[in-house]
Amino acid sequence: MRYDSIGDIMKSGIFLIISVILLFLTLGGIGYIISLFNSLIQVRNNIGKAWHNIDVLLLQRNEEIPKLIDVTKAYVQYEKGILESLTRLRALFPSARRTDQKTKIENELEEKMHGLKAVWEGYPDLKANELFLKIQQRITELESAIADRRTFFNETVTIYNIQREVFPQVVFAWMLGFRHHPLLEVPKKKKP
Amino acid sequence: MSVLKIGLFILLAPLVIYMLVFILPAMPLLFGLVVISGFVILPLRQLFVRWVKRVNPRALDPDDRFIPWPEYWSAAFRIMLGFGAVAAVARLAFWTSYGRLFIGKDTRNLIFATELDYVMAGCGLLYAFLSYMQEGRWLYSEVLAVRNLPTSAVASVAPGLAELSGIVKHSGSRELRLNSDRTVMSFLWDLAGTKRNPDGKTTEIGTYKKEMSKFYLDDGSGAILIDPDHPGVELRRPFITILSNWFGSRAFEILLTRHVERISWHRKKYELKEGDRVFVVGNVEIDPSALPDAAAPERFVVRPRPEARSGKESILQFLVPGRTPSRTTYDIFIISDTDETRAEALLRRNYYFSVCVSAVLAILSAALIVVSGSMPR
Repeated sequence: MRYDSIGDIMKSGIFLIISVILLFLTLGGIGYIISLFNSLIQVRNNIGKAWHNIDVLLLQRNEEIPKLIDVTKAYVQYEKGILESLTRLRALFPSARRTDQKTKIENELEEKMHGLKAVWEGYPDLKANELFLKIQQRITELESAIADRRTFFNETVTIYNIQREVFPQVVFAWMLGFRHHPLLEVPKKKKP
Repeated sequence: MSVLKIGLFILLAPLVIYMLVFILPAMPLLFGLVVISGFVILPLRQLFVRWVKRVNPRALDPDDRFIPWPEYWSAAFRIMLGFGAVAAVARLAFWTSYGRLFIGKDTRNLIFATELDYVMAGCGLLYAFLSYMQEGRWLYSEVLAVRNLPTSAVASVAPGLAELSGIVKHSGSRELRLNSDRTVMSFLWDLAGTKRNPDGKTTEIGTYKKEMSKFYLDDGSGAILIDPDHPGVELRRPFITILSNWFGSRAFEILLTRHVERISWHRKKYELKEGDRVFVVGNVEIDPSALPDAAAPERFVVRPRPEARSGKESILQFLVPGRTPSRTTYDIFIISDTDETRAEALLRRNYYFSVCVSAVLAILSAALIVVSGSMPR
């Protein structure tokens, strides 16, 4: 293609360079959208990974609960409701599929366990039982390990929650149905 | 360096630049010839390798210097594109003088001159795109990893990609020749020796030394072994890294800012020492050399992960006839002596730099098409 004047050349050149810049901006925009989407997927997958890190310990802790209930039943007279709730939640835990469902069950379970610990205080005979002490020690060890991993899990969930709530990720999160994920709560200590 | 050498350098530098300007534009053609000859030579070589394997398998151990040919192709193609990209810029910058010395004529009047310009500009545009797809996209995935991963406590770390932060402790795995025993990583552009010339004078020979040893990262909850000693792990220096990427290799992220010693104007030493705060993103895996009854953090090691990826990762392999085996690449591995925020900022800066290089190349290549297509011959 030949041009008649320098003006034509300049116009054509500017047009092509602007086209390349626009192409770059378009590609950059598409890349940005893809990266936002990938980032959301990444943080969601990170939750799964963090959950697997803590899940093993939670299952081990839950396996100790029936033993604890059996020992406690013999001593505790009036707080059967807590024991029944613990049994029900423990049975629910493996059947939950999503991590947010499991987290909610675990939070309830943790709250009930905390309530049960408060009940033990009123039964000195139970606290002196050798089997009870053994199970309690095992649970305490597991809960200590869980506490370390809970921090990591909660940080992972916080990163996910922040990402799905800020603009423009919120649009993708809404389109893809990314819901708010609960944190693994630490039971609040009762005031003396 | 003596005054005489500086004077000589000042005199020779323009000559070297001038030669590069005329030789570089011819490089796409030269590499084109190499690539075309490769269609004949490489399959023959492959047949020869197969025959050697059958007759004498011992002759072909991993160090037999037989490079897997798709990798060779990929590197050759990238080098060609790299020269093409530089050639497009050089062609544009030295429009009127281009080729006069090298070919003896003003190329504006040569037959196919416009077409050659289009090939160069095409190489430039293609390279800008591939450069972003490989270098830019990779850097961005590293930025994402740093941003999206929470920091794990060593005591409760799980296998897989993890982010860790703590203090460097020497593992005592081996002594470093470059420095005191407190150093666990060292990168040095140094003087290797001197060469005596026929005229009796000596010439300095520079070299790049890289020394790395395993070390422990201790965050207070426990210590975990970090093993960075791998050929792919390199110090991140933006321009050098992009250049190395042009020539077919990808550097991994060692971002050292604390112990940087300028030895001379062109020699720098980067070190990571025992007691330094270190930030690591890498793959946690079970250490085969750990004791069988070791507890969790002692059983693990953080190292670059060899990972076979699908052919789509290497789009250049589609251009190669025959089999396209999956390419061995390494997952994200970052070591920095900065905190997380600073490490992310450094990675982001490298990403922007890479994108800018790609954008400038693309715009200049497009400009070459315009200039060459529109100028009267």
